[in-house]
Amino acid sequence: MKNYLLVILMLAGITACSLDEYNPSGITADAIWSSPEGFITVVNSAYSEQRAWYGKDNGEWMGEMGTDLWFNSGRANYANELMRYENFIPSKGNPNITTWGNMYKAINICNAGINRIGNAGFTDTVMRNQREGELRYLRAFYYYHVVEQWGGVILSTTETNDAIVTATRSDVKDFYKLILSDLDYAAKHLPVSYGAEYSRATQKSALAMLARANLACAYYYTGGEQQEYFKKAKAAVDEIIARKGEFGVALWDNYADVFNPKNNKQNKEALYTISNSLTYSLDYDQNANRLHMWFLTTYSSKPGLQQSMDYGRDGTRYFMPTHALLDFYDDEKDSRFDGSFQTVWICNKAYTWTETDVKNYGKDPSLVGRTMVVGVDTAMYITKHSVSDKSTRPYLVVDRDSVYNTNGTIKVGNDYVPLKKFMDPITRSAANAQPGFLDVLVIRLAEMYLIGAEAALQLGDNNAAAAYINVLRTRAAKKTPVDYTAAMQITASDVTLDFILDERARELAGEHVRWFDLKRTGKLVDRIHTYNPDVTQVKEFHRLRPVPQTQIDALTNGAEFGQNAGY
Amino acid sequence: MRVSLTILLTICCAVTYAQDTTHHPPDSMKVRDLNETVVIGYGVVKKRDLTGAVYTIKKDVIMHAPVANPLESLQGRVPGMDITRSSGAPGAGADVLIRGTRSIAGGNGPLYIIDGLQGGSMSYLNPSDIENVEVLKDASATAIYGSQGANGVVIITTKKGKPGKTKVSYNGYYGANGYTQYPAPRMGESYLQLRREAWRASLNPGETLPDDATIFANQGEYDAIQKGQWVNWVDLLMHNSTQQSHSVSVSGGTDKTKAFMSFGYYRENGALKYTNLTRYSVRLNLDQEISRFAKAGIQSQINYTSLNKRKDPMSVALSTTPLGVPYDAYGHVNVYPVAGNTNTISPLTDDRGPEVATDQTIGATVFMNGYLDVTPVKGLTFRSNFGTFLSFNRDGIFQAATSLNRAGDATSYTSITNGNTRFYNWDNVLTYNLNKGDHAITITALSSYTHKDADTSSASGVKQVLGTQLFYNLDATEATSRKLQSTYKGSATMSYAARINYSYKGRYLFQFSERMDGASRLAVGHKWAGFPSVSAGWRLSDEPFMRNAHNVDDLKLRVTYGVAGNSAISEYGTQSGLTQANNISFGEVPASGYVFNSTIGNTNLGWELSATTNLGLDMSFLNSRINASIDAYNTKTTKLLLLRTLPVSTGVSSVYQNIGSTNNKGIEIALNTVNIAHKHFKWTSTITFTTNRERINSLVGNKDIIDKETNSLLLGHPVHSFYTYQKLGIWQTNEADKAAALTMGGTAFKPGSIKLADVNRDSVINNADLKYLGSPVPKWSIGWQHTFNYRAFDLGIFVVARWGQMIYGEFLGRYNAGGENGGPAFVNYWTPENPTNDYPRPKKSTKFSDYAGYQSMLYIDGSYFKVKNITFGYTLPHAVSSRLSIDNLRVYATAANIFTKARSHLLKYYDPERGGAESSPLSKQVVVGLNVDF
Repeated sequence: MKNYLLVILMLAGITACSLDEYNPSGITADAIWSSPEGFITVVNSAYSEQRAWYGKDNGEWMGEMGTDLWFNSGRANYANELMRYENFIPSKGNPNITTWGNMYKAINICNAGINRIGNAGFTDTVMRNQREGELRYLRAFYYYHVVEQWGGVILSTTETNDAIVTATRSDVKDFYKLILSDLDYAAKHLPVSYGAEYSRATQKSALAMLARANLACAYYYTGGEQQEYFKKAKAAVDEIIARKGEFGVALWDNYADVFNPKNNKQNKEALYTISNSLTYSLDYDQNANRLHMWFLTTYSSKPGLQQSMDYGRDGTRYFMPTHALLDFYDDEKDSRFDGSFQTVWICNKAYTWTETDVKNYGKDPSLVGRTMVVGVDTAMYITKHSVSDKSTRPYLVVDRDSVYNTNGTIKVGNDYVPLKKFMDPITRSAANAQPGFLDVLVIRLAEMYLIGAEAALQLGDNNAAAAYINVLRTRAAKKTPVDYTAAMQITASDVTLDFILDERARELAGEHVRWFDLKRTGKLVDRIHTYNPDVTQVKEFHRLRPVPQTQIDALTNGAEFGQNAGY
Repeated sequence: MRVSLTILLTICCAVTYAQDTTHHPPDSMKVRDLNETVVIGYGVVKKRDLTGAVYTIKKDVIMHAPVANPLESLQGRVPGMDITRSSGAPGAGADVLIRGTRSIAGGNGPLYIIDGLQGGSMSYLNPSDIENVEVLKDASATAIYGSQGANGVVIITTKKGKPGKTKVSYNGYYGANGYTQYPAPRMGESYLQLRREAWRASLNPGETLPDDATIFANQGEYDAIQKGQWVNWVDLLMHNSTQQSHSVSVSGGTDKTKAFMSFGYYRENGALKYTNLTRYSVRLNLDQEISRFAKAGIQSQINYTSLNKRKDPMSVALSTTPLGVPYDAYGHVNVYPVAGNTNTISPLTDDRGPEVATDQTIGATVFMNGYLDVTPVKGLTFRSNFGTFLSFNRDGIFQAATSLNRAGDATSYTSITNGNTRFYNWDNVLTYNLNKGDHAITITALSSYTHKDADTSSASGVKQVLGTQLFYNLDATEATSRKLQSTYKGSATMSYAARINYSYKGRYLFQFSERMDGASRLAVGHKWAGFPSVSAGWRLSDEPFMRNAHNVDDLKLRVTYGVAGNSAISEYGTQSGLTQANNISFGEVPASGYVFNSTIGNTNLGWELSATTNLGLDMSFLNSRINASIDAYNTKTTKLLLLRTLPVSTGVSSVYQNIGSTNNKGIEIALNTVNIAHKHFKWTSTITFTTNRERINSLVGNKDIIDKETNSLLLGHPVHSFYTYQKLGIWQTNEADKAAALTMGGTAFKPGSIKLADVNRDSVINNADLKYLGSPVPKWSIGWQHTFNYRAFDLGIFVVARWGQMIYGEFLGRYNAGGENGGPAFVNYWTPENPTNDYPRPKKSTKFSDYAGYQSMLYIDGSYFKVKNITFGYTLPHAVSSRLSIDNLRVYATAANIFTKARSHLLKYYDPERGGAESSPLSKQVVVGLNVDF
């Protein structure tokens, strides 16, 4: 009897009890991303990090600095790595380090979603494919930034769930194979519209990225293969143009309307938008969109002026246009100059010229005692032209000769013609408030015509190229008092790669793309030398950014992985 | 050196006495001690057959001096076990390390087994309920506990009833604490002088020192000085506290039924007003014989504890201006002691009572352990042990807007947290003993299952208006401020183990054990791990060649090797978690997201492994008048969990990996001597000596991990080490040229600034001059107990020394170098007339933390020597007590923490056992007590 008892007890003891972990209050990927309702959270998260690039200093620095368009002599010590290629080493150049991390963080989430969607229990295959389309669109979007900025670095298609401490380089062409196949999938499955959730990727976004990516990809090939990619880029452009009505996109009649803050939300020219909510707790961080402040010149300390909502939060001065950028525009005929730049400030603070100011600003002594009327009189005029009667005009005048030397270098970098595209007088809380809540137009329809033109040119079809460009120049032409539409038209013989780059500058200055354009076309060093003589240290190897040192240090095969050439 | 000399002297002393005094061996030291059993994991073994490093503490040592927490009674008494009091606050525990620090990311505290059950805490136990405590130190002893054994195991056995006369005991004491060693604030003329000196140092050449009205620009302050309103905040805050403990136990039984019951009460009033601890406990231990083959029993205890805490005001007390009017005319605390200065809240603000500051934890714990013992055939025993440990806690907090905690926020804060913990443990142990001729073999096989889970729920809010509601009406807080939280954590383990003990003639001893541990917190496919051990013992004293060594009673050599685990992985530590991201929208449509936590789970994680080789020698001479035990060990801990920074391209930041390793080597000596054993006078001594060398052997990428002064991990140095600039002194007037040649941050040094070591001799003090300064790990420590018995009187003196460690003295940084606010009076600062090397010259409007290299001054030698306690007792002679029907009656008085001598002169006003913290200082204590058995 007792022996039975013993046996029973021993057996009970030896029978293994469950060693599964029970974790109801923690959240794991397996738990939340295994139902359609939960799966949306990985899709949503995949969008998050793009907001650390667009609308932030990060993306504007990486996308526009160190090109033919901008300099920052007034901020001589800031962002020198990216603007001037000075001391640009793997351990420095912060947007370079931060954005590398942001991109891969987002890619990891995309990979998690793409690989897990099969287990998410979707029964509605359309919905399933749409979600996968979004994730693939985003992965391609992020990898496009990675491969163009850093070249053939790490191409991962799996979620990190292990201690990965080695890395191998992938060829740029392999990056593009993945990017293009992801975008093909997205273009096939994404819906035409997501309604009120307009900043999700839709079919038009995927096609626009296909145009961009194929165009960029083509330059890594030669001969017939290259032609194929140019053809695909052009095809994507043509599809978008053909389906404009279906997509609900169109060019605004006037160039300036594209950037009118009132037209900003659900902008009809946008193919892909990053939205910022007016409820700022829904934004990436409390700064949301700060594009409005980086291009401005200082006005608020000038006679007759004070900081205002309309004129913006001035004084940051990171992007001063080069002499060349201003000269790309024929401001007599092309409305894009006035649509992009501010030259006149109307007095917004009652003012009477004093003896001191007259002396300081080099004015004619006769101006002492002269008053300015708020809302009526001009207080400041900054122009790309030369002004001969500067001293006698009853307002401050900064002309070409006081800013630029004749060789194009910058004389004084404090006052200049500022880009006004991103100004935000409507969502910010105060004149000096940094956070703005306007959306960022990441890709807009106008760019498609430029991509179409470039692809056509490379395919030898200059007529088609001119036709694409003339669509934009027709809109850009000033119509009154003189209609310059005809004068603005170009012909096939006008089209060259440099012409297209000039046209891109006129159309897209400041829109996060210039560095990509020069890098893609191989014109980075050449055009900087020609148009931005203040940037003296750029070298051919700067077509790639350095891989951040922290990345290499954390690899056990860091030496084998290696740094991008030149750094 | 000095230590070995002391030990030698004691041995000589003992030998001398042993030779010229009577030859009655003292009762407690007979050879039959060797036949006593020692509790080892899942079994017992005769002391003579023990091969592992196991140290036993008996109940008389635990009861020798009154302690609230039985752990404290082990302080300095177990070689290799480093115990320091956590703080002087009521209910504060003790920090325990056995044989150094092994783990970097995990805990280093030992595993406690109370009556075979894990999960309890020694602090819950009544000291008078304890029969004995075994400390298992080497891996041959602890490997049987597998993944939990590496930090040592403390096995506590509580008392059982004995057949025969029912015994009633009362143990009680009452004590007063006070005379705390703590730096006094600078006041009066000395305070004025410091401020003037600070001004003087900022004067330009030719300027003269302005008058006090200019120097003390704050009108309220100046008025207070004129009126002589000096306040010693430390004195006003620290009160003499009291401590009392009473316990009554009843034990007895028949041959078949034995019971032990006890009731305990403990109450401590802390040095700060309204801080106190109350504890009630009831214990019942019952053993019942079912038949000749079977017996069953339970051990059980229920505790109720109530603890009232406060934010420690000592740092504020030391740094607040020592001026003002602390109390109004009615004796109430003035919240703003300096008239017109509402920026400085009184350090006494929480003295106003619970409606200003309450932090009350009440809790109950239930400990129940039942067993069944079956002996179906001779030599075979089966024991099934089922135990549970339940605890319920509630922590209620209210902090008024003017409480010390909320002075910065200026709103009140209320919270309540409930926590429940459940633990159960089922062990089945099969033991088989076989004795045949010269061979004795014991085989133990066991299975063990544990399950633990805990949940908490908490709620909090701000802006509750009425303090008298305490935390009983959270509805009164501002609705939008409320936060709710609930958590759950659970884990389970399943283990199997086997052990074989073999003895040939009692002379050659072998033990082999292997444990397999399965743990829920490890990932699928990695859940199981094995922990082997092997050991051998050789009783030389039984060898024929030792037969003529008459003075040698026992001589045993032990060699052991084993591997035990450090259970450093937390629950869900191998899982990858997600964090919710609510800051997403598409247009104006909010969207919810989840992103990966920056530290991801690693499914390959395994236990940290400590492999220990131990060499031990047990000796007993001269009729056991000298007993000594020496152990030397070498513990290599590998597969240490370390947070590894991942390449950014992984999209995450870090992961825990098993990559580091540490090493602990040491020597432990325990020496018991009967120095004098006359009929009426006896003098016995116990010395324990410990030295341990701890070092980090490898880290990620085999590079030092440099963090802050106290968090850096340095190869070749202890896990906890201090890494900063080294202070050499203060630059003196005649060294002005040398000082000026050295710069830091572009600024040259000058007389009166801190003289720092320019380690790389490049005349610039920068990161390259940071270095390892020391570690809180002592080079050696010693515990030395002397007990004198003269007729009915007994006198015990217990001395401890802890030597070679460095401490981070928070209060050392309280120097108010600008002369403003407050600071400690002991700070001897440099002036041209006072060429000290202690503290740099004061300077107006400058904080001490602005001084170049001030960090170098916070880390100092913390070595100390301490008379831990002196106990004087009187036992009623048996002739008298028996007439009163009393078995035994002893009254005693103990003075604890009575004298401390620190090596550094900067610790003159501070008890270095506290480890450098400025909160809850340790105090001196006088206790009177009574033990009676009926």
